[in-house]
Amino acid sequence: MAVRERAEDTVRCEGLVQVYGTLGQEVTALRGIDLTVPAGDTVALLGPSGAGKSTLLWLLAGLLKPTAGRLEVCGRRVNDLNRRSAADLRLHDVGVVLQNPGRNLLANETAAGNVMFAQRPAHPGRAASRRRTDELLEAMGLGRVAHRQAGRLSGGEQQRLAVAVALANRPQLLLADEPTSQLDRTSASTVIDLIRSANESEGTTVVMVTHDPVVGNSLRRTITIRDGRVGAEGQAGQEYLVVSRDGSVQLPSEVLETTLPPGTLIRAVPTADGVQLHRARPEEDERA
Amino acid sequence: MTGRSWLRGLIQRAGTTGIIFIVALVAVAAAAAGPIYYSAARTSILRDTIATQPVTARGYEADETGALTGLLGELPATQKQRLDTALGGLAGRGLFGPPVQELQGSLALPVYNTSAPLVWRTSVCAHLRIAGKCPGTNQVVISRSTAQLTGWHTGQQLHFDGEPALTVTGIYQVTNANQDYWFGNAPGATQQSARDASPIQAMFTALATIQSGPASAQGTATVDEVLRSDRVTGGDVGQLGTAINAFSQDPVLANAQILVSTAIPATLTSVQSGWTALAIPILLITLQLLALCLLLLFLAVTDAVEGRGAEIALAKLRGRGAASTALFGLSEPIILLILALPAGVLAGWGVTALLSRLLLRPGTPVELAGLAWWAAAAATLGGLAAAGLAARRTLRRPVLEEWRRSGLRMNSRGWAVDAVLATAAVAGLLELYFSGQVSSARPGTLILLVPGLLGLAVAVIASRLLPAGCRAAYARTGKGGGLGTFLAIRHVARRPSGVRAVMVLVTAIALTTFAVSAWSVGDRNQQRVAATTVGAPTVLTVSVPAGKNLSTLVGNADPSGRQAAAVDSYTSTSSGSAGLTVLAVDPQRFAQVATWNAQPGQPSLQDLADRLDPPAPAGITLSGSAMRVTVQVKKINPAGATLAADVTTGSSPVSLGTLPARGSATLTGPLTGCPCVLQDLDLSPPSSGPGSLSYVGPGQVSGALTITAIQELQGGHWVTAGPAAALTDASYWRPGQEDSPPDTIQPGNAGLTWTFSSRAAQDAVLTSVNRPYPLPAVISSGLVSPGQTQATGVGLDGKSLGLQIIDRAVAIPGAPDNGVIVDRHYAELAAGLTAASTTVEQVWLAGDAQSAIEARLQAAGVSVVSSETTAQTASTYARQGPALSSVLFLADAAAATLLAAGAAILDLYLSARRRRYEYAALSATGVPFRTLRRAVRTELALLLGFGIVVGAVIGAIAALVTLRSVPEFVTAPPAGLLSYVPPALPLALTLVVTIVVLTAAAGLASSTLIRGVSLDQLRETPT
Repeated sequence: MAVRERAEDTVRCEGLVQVYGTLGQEVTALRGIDLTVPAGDTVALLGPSGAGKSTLLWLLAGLLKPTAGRLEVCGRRVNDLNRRSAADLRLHDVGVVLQNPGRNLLANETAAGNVMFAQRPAHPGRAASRRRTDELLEAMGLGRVAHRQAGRLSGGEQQRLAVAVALANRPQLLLADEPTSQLDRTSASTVIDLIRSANESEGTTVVMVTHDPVVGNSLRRTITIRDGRVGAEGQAGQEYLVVSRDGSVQLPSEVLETTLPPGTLIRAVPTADGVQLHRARPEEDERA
Repeated sequence: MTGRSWLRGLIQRAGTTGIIFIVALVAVAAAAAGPIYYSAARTSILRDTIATQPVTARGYEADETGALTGLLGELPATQKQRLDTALGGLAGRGLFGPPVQELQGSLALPVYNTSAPLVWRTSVCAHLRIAGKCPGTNQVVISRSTAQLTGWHTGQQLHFDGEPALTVTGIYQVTNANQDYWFGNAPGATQQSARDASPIQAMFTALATIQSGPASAQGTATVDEVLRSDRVTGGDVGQLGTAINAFSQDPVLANAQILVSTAIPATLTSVQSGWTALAIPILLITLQLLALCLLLLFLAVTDAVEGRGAEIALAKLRGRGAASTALFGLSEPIILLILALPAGVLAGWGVTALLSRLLLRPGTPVELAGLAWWAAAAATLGGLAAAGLAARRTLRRPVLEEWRRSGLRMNSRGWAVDAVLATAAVAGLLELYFSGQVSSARPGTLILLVPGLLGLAVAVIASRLLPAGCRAAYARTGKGGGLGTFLAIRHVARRPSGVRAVMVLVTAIALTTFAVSAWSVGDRNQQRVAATTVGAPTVLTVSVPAGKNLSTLVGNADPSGRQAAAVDSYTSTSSGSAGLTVLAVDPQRFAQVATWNAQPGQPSLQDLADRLDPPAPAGITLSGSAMRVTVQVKKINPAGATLAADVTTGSSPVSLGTLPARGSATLTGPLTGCPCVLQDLDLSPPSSGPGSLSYVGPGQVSGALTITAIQELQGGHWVTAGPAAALTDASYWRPGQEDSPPDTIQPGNAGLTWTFSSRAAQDAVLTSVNRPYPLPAVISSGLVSPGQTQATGVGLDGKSLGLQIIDRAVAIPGAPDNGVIVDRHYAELAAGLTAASTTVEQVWLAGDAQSAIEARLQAAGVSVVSSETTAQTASTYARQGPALSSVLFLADAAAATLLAAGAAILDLYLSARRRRYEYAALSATGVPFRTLRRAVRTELALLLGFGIVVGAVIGAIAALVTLRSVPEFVTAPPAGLLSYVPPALPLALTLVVTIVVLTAAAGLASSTLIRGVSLDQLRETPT
């Protein structure tokens, strides 16, 4: 197998915009995302439903083309990919785990067959393919059910198998769309552990969409998407606001609900290393 | 995917898998069956034609004339070598029967002023019935007629100039003159051969007798070979025709003075014209079934690939390229199509073999022709293309769109496909209409496309109306009518795939209805034409012993008068009346056995029979040894005219003598071979000589005389001949000429006064009336113009005969287009009891009378030369191209209907099965299972019933509009015989069977479906 050169940053988004045209209406899903994910990083995409997390994930998988902005995945410019090269990107560099365990797999195929099905277009060779399959299934704790039909595995086993399938071709980037949302807590933590293990052992970069803060916090970074923008980023237990390309900043929801409700006028007071925001009261300013 | 998982997928989607495989199988089978059936049918038609042709049309004769001693050494070898050369690859196939050789010389018979043919023929004694023994060297057998003519007998030594004495070892009769062995040259056969030019028929002898004759003796050597119908196949015809043409014109043979005569090429050409009536219909019929199968395949693969949409999306998600994804998505249909190729070819072969056994000439080989594999491969490629088209949208659909897919797209897609189908169908119909195929009564094979195209066009539109109609019924079913109807109406309205299934069903039912109509109409017309062409259920051509009257023999064989009728048939070959056939019949018996196609308002044959033989004077029958006529001549010019009597025997005319210029005279003449009937008295002018020209003109005679007595000599006494009133009643006589200047007759106490004036070079004739004048006749309507009451036909003697038209018929039995029916007794009298040599004596038999009557006739000495039955003729029609293609159409349409119905029911079943969650939910709310079952059954009944009704109506309309143009015969019969209104019974039976089968299948499907509904399904995710 040819050793592919790994880009320094696995994901690089600059002003990423995605607009859907549906039934004559345009819906803007992403409004200028700037995001960089270095190789080997693990990132959780958080945010409310409809914020644009999954859209960002599909863009990273090459299933969509950005409407505007620049997107590079594993050193390839997604804007320029045609169907064939997008498929090639997914085959060699990007693995995807979907939310619905059943949707990740060929239900009639065995667990091993599913892994090999994902490998086959990459032509790894029969022996190498079998070795990799066994290795992955053992790593996922599925060695004893390798020859059982995927449709007959439990939900947890199916999702672990889905991770194995996604990792079959040693991708640089593993994308997971709420991989644990339909699993019980035990199964969910097993899946997350496996993903983290792959990150640690193979250096696979991980971008995972999740609603679960616990799952999110188990990864190194959390990116919160709100209204199509990167609203915040968390690292090492700290939550940070992110300044957008147009200068906007999304305040945390608790601040919006209590201190600075929508419509509040604020004054930005520059400081040595940033800016302080204060509620502004124009009538008092006038009297003063 | 591993083979096991692929198999699991097939099993999981068993319904769709089964439909795809069966449709592919039928498509391939149909494609393969076309060429196989065509090949077999060609051979069947070829063999039928060969078998029914006269031997001269299916064999050849090579002859060489020269010195008898060496002839037979050269001819067989030379002609065989040249024939094999011409035949090339066909030479070793044994296409011809064993050659029959003949060597013929002649022996002078000065006493008879003729010569006698001395003949050796291969194994001749096996084909003769010899009273005596087979001849050896210097021995002969002679025919019975020769024996009668010459008085020669067995054991007699015959001496001819320059020849050794020949001993007669037996008297022979030909066992069967119609055997191929004789090649139409049997001694005494009806067909006059050169050999029979001599009154002495062939004397057969051993080869050595002829070869040991004088070296200078000249004669003819002949080799006859006849094509074996059981060896030749359709594929041989082209090469065989070329070879025989080359053989007959071979310069090597011509240089050797060997003449080859054959009509085989003409026979093969007529066979090929029969094939054209088969080739295009088979192609069109096959293409229609194939198109329907491919449409079904398209729909089935669409469903199958849609069902695998999620897996296909997953393949794309895993980075598979377009080709790899297509292969993955289409793997199941591709494998099924490939499996269906050999299975379909074998199935097509098997079905065709079965069909051929039922329809084609017995013994016809049904070979798996190479073309069948090519056609099957083309069908498979067509199936792959249909599958590719069906899967195209799913394969090209982006992954995200597949995940978000809703049912709305199915609707929009359906319209696109339907629009293409409807447009193509309407365009095809318009093309056929404007090219005159639909509007013309002229048979054309492209008309066979109309039902399919019409069915498809209407089906596309009508199947769209059904959901619309159901939507319109929403309100009504919402207010009342039960939950079952409520659910059924809504499911029909909302489900596009059911509409497509109905569309195919409508087309298939339309095709079947049309095919049943076409077949039943064709079959009825073929039966009708066969019955009319033959004339009666069975027609025997017979040979009657000398001196016997066929009517009497038939009367004895059938005292009931209802089973047999004697018929004399004479077909004119004279210019002006060529082809006209006079059928002289016993009217009452004829009416009982003949096939009569009475048109509306036309009298029955029984009614006509009474009018065919009206009473007529008995005529003057003479049974004495001499006759005499006493006349009182008033005047006659020129003097010296002679009087003769024409009577109905071989000794006619009876010369009575010369009449005086004035005064009385009694003229006498001998009678030989009577009893006989006086036909006429004939007054001839004296022979013309120098200075003897009549003042009235050359060769004419005129004058007036009174006939006072006609007598015959019986037992030494002269007695009055005929009825006493014969000379006092004008109805007993008829002057020969009734036009200007009129001859007249005047009865009186003294006798019958006859005033006459003959035309130039003609005699004056006084005819003894013994039949109606003109003769009542029923005549083919095509021979006379409307309103015509009299016509001139031909009599049994081949001479013209005045006819009184009592009725005209669209088709005369036995001679549909050009027949005349007259009374047999009167016709024989009109012919002077002297039939033309080509007059054929027949016995027409009722349906179940053949064996009994034939046996009685044979016991009475009548030999049956040949027989023809309506059933045989109908069977021949049934094996001709149009009928064979009609049956293929029927079989294909039935297969299409079964396929479409099966696919529709399965589709509806699978669709309803996907709604089991909904049914389980309804069941949980307290809706009884019987209501759910009723809902499914109502839905099935709505869709299938709609398909059946609309399809049947379209098929019936197509049949009514186009059947007139669908070919039914290779040669068109009289149009008036044919009817194109489909018989109700076959159509009704077809519909009833279809409804019963579909109802049973739908009932089974709905019961199975509802039995599978359980509350546990509520735990599953709704699909």
